[in-house]
Amino acid sequence: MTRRPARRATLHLFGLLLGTLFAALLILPLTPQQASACDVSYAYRPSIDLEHFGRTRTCSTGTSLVGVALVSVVTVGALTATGFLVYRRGAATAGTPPGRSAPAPALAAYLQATGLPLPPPNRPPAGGYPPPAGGPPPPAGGYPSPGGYPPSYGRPGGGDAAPPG
Amino acid sequence: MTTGPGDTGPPRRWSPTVPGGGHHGAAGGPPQASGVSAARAAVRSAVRDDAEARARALLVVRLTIALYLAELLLNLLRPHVQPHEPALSIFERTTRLSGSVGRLLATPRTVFWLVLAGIVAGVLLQVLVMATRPDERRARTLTWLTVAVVLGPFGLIPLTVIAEYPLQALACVPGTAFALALLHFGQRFSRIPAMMLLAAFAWGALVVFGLGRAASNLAFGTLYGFMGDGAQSDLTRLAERQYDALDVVVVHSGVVNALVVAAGVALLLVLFRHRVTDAVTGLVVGAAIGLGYNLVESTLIIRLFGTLSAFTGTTGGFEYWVRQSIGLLGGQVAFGAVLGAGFGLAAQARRRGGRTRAALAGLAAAICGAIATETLAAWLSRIVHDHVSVGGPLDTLVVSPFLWLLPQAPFIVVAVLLLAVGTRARAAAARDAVAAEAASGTAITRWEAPFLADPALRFWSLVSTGRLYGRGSALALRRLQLAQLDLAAWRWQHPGVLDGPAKEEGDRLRARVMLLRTRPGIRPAAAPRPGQVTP
Repeated sequence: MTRRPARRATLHLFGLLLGTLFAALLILPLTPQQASACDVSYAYRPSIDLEHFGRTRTCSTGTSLVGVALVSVVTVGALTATGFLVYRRGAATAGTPPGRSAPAPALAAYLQATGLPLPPPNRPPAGGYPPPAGGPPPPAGGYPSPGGYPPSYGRPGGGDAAPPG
Repeated sequence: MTTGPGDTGPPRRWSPTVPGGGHHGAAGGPPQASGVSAARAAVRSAVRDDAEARARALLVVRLTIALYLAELLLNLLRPHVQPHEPALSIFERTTRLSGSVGRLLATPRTVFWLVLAGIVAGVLLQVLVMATRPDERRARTLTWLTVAVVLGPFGLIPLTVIAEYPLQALACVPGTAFALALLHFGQRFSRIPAMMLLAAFAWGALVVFGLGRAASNLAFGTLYGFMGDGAQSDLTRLAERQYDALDVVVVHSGVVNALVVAAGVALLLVLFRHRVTDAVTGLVVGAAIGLGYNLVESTLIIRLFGTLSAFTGTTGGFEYWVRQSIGLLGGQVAFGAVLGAGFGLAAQARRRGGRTRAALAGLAAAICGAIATETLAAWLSRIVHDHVSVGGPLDTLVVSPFLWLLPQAPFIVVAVLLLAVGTRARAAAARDAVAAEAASGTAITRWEAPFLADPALRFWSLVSTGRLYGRGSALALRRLQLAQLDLAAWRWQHPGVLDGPAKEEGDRLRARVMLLRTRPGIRPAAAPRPGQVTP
């Protein structure tokens, strides 16, 4: 979907939702509503029951904090899972099998391209360190490219260099 | 990795040496500024202070004050229900209350006098500017001083709330900080400056909440004057009239809050230098404003409803659960996000009609969302009254939060859709911009381009670098990547620039990238911001 139709579709959805809610507002009588489930905000009206005053059941702090803890655990878990999935997708794009313990050739080549002065890796790259001049030698058989790494980023108007291997 | 014909190949700097030794590259960067001067430089680089920006800021401030003055005027014109009523309802002396409630109830009166003093001071400052025609620096100072004295008094109400209930405010900080971090780090390409995000948060907390409460206070008195019928002896009718007035105040608050949020989004988009203005930019700014408002409102409601639990069945812990946990990203955050996205789309629209439609759609959505949440949730709650045991675990954990979030759900969905569509558009633009920069310069090479354009690949490279070469190396790589993405964002906005200030800005961004390649431990004093004139 290109940008303009997507934007138009989103705006139409906007309008539909607005219209629905506005209609709902018009139908609702603006009269005070008695309390029922636990009040949350200003438009809820408390019902004063003098017979049972002070003995009304409440949405207790203890139960609420259980809910807070559950949501916190779910959120942290979701973020961790997302991070893990994104990491694995990046590894797959780079053609690196998961669980690899040595610097991948793609990472080594990328870091060399950045020119950053880095200390020795904790684990030596597969096949030893590349020579200081002349660029890293490609691994035997070329880079695996299940995801087509590196994607072709050709010069405008020009053809792309074929990926190694 | 082999190189093709015509390729220059990757820079041949690979060597397992200590950082700083044996490298080519540019000479050392600018000296590190320290303390206050660094903070001042950071503010100056982030905020526009040219004449056009100041004029727009003053316009927004004048419109905001005009809203408050309109409320004052309506309050002055209200019918008086009781004998010896003061001219303004906020000066009516009810039973003297002590403690925090008494101080809170007194703040609208204090705000009134401070706003009046601020308006007088602001007018005098502007007359001084017009009469003396000071130099640029003095004019800048006087303008920002005017903005501060006119809008500053509204901050008294939220600051009083936080000062009176610090424990409740502190309890809301972790969730709010998490949501702010999510807004900051969730922007994948061309993030808005952190200072802009914090300014949006402060606008929501201080101006939206403060002005909204001040206006609502006046509106309640005005409405009660028009709706009251003097039957003070009939308590039932008195309570009914007050509830009727409160219902209309709920509608009024939805409108006023949305207008002030809109003013904040417009002001921040104009004042702060940032690369891209699109739906995502506006969405992030609007959501941050909503978060600020939500922090102060949650503090007040947690305390207020916690005190009244004998009547309402609600405890402070329950309000915290609904507003700061399960509903943290709903409510004003979602409505602010939708409003901001509308303004961001308006900024991108080419034609005036499209701009107006997008901005008004965002504003209308925010207003309807706020009103619908208050009224529909209460109405639905009434309907389930006979079917749900009030206060049980099911009610606490499921039913009551569900009824509160149900009217907000469509707006949350729209905000998520806008974010997804906007992020996808940015990703496509990032790929094109990175490729264009890689094709034309050395700041981004062909080998780096895939990593910059793919967030998953970038994340993988950072984590892997951190695991293999240590945290310092990962941070150096991240700084380089951010500088390169900033350059790509500049390329996105200036695809065919050949000369002028924009080209100079591009050259400075490239120089920054080259500096980070060779001296990764150096933090260049300030990245050039869009349109910034480097001293």
